[in-house]
Amino acid sequence: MTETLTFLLSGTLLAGTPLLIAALGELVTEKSGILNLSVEGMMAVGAIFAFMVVTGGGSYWVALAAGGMAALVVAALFAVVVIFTLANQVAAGLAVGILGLGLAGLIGDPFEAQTVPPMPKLPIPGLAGLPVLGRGLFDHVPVVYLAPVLALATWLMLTRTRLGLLLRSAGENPDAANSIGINVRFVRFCATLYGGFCAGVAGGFISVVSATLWADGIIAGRGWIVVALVVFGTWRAGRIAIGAYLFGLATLSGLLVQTTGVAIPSQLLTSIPYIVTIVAIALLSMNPKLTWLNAPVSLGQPYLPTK
Amino acid sequence: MKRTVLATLAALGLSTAAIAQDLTVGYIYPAPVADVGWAKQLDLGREAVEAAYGDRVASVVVDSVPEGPDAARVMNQMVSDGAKFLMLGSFGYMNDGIKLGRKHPDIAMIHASGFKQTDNFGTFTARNYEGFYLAGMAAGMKTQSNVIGLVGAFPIPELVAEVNAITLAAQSVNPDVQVKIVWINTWFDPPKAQEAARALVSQGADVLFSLHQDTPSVVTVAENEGVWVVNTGSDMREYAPTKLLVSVTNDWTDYFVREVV
Repeated sequence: MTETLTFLLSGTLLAGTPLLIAALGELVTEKSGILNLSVEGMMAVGAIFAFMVVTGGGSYWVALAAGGMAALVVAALFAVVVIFTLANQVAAGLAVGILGLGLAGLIGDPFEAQTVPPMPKLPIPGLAGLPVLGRGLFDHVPVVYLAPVLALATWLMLTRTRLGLLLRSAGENPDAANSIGINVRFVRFCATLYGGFCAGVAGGFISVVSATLWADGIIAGRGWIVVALVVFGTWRAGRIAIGAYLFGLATLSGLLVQTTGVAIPSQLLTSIPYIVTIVAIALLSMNPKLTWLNAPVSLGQPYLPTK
Repeated sequence: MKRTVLATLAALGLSTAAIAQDLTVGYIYPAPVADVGWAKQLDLGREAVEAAYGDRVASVVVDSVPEGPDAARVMNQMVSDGAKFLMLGSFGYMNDGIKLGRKHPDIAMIHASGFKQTDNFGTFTARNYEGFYLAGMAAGMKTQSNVIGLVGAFPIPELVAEVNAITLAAQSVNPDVQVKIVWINTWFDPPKAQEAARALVSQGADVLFSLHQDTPSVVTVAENEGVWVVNTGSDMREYAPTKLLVSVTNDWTDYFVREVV
């Protein structure tokens, strides 16, 4: 029983961390008014670059940063297309996402099905010795502890700082922002690059920290979950964090229930996380105050500054 | 004796007639061809065919083909490019292959692990359950917690047969053995396969089976968690140098060489 609980806690953190990191990046991007649907592709690019760095003998931190930078380059391509040439954000996002997936597969071909050693864990002194909770929550790689900190920092940045105000104004009412001298396109460009960086770090986390292997298609749809999580969390960092860990927990519970041999079809169990996501989004959307209070008004709309 | 010789001669005569003209063989794999895995084993078959017939056969290979409309498109493309013989390397290509065969009666196809056949659409599969029976016996002897954990791809007939073989075999040597299985319902999601493996370990499994996971996902978890592991597909000793109990692998080379004739 304690083993089960430990597994649920530690597994939830491990599965939720990359989702949370990427979703917080996407949140910042969307708050600035840009809908980036290429998260899946950016995560794949981040995953292969991080993997190459670790395979080449680099440290895990350098690897995650490299994954982030590689995905940032992909995001830059998307940003130029949608911000400066005013392309449709949905179409461009899908195209760049598919490009990223293909690029990752191409670059990763020589590394297919290779593995790397796991990242060393950093047990938190004192807390890691607790029964159940210790090994479940406080015996992880450092990145796992940093993800909730990033959520808190993102919330503070968006709601309590001038930078957050700049971002939000670009996403709410770019005309008004422009009229008081904010360079809307520059703000949106930076926010998109930041979102790409986060997606790359998240992808790198999957390939070098949690899975410790590279295989084409390793992201397996998690990039889409990230996009859904931002809506699920109604554009609020705290709710997104809850959503990311809930999704991890729901996936693991489905697997765990199967090990007990309960006669529920496995197909139903594996679809539970997705059903939960759909139902939650539907319920949240029934209350417009919850959703549209935080949704950026100009999300997805191209902006051409007036002189 | 005489009849055997005649039969052999007749077979040889037929073969020479069939391969006198160039033959284009199309190979479709569900996963990327890596150093290990299901697609790699199929690709070794292709290499054997090319080695056996040299210039008389041409190969067209497409890997990472998802089951569904994409597979149908790739098959059609291969046939319109002149392929007369197709090797369809995944269960889910079955219905599209049969449809294609009705449209083009002059082509022949072999399909992995399905349950439908027509005149020009044959099934190939190995008696994997025999290999798994042996692996199951090994697992039954090795387990100390009496819990064996299986990470399965999809509950299709072939895998169910393997699960049954493992269970019967393990119980034949160790009546107290309990077999736990987690279906992840995907051929390809390495992180999910690893989560399933860890879930099984948390439930006391000390021997894991990686049923048709093309990557070393489950195998690496076993090595890190210190439990035994049995793998399907390729030999994955290098990924779990101390914990790989046995691998159940398929060698298609002779079969492909015979079928292409």
